[in-house]
Amino acid sequence: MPLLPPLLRRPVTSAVRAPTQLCRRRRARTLPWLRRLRQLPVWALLVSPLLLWAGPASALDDARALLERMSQALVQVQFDGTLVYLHGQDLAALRVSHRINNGTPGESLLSLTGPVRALSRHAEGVTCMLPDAAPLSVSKGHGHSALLPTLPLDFSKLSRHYRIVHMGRFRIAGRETEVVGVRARDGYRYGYRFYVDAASGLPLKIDLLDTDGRPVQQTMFTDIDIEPGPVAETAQAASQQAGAVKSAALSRSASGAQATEATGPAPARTEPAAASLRLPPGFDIVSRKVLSRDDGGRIEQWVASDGLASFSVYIEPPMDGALQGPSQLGAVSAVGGLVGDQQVTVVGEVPLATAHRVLEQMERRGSP
Amino acid sequence: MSTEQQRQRVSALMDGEAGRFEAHAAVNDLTRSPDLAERWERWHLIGRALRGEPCGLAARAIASRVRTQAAAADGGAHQVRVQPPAWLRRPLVGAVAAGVAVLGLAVVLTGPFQPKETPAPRLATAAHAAPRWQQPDPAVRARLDRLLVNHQEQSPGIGRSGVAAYAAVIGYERLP
Repeated sequence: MPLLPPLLRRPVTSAVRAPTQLCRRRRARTLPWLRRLRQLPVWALLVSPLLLWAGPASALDDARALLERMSQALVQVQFDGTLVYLHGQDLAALRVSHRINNGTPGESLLSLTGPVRALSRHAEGVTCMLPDAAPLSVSKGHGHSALLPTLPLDFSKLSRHYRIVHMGRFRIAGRETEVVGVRARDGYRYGYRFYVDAASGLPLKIDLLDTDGRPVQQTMFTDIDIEPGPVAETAQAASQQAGAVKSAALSRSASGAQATEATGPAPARTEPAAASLRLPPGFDIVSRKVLSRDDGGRIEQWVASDGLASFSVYIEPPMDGALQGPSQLGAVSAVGGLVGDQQVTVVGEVPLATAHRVLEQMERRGSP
Repeated sequence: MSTEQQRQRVSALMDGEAGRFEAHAAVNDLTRSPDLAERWERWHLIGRALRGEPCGLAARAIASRVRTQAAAADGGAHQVRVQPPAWLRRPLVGAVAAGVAVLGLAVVLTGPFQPKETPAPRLATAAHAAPRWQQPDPAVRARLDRLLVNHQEQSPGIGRSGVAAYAAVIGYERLP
């Protein structure tokens, strides 16, 4: 104001005051709603962080609930369908069936492309008919659950190595699905994308993703008949089963190994094999057992899991037909070699680098 | 011992002529009958030889079974009528199959079947660019299949139960 010429002081002052007075008059008339309106940005500022936090938290809860539901549906829901399996550039079709008889789930898979291959899971175990070799049979041992072993979902552990997100909805096999992304935070494991049927909870499509999010392997139903509602007798069995992993025993089969001992979860770090087993971050030993080969050789099997991905480490005396070096079957990796005087083979649905790392760590330590 | 109906069902399965329910019944029969499982393996072996595909004899440990069956046949105790698949019942193809089978028997009986000392004999050259597991030795492939199936039975995890866990085992086949 002092900078203005004296002649202009009054008119300018009045010009400034005039709208202020006008405003005061208006405020007198509209004070209640205007006050509320002026408080709105303050409220918005206070509430927006809560909204920002609640949105993803709700989506995360949705995703976790979907994974829980999917885990249950896999053992409770009966279905028949056609599954396509895409690995690399190759595509295969399978006829699959999941049935429950007297509380015991059974599955059969039959290849519809290429040579006829078939697999049947039943109360006694798994029988696999491959054209490349003699039929192989893996039997469940005494006391093993009729259901596949599943770990209880530990989301606090999973979230350290995966980012779980609800990605929206998509249609698969003519059915509505909810898409859950489980993205790996490092290169030691694959990421996953589950397309969970909104009605039944079954995963109608499962993608395995590399660290860049590109699909390594995809399985998808092209058509599926789902029995309405879960099977009551299985629901009880599934709930009893949750919470503990039971190790299965192998019994003598057509051409395979025999279990001589079966034990439960075993963080027994005092044993020589465990001492030399250094696992990638996030993986823990969840099961171990001792098998015997046809020639009497002893096979030690360690199963490691991060709650989602898993691999087995087999330690045994050298033999014919043992793997030397890396190998892959779709997204399944295998690496084998001699460590000391023992043959070690790592097999599982993990990236090849992870299997390599496990074997290399054992080689560095000299003996299994 | 398998029944005629079971053998026909498995034969239809191999020919791709089994219906949905018949196929499931055939798979169940195969898992319960060692006799059917052996037939399945033999028919596959002959079929692969006729199509010029790798036969994987080393993985089958077929020598001991051939000797056992030959011994049983000598004793007159093995009087099972074989019901081959439809393609084997055709005269010309059947004749070729019989020739290949005789050749296979000759190979099996004339040499020791020890994969560690001698390379596995092949009735045909590989028709596929990359074999399963990228392993040329069928014994290694068979061994890895066994380790994988055993692992899948033990492995926990979300979504790992059920059919998806075995999709790679059954579904994996490189296209020619």
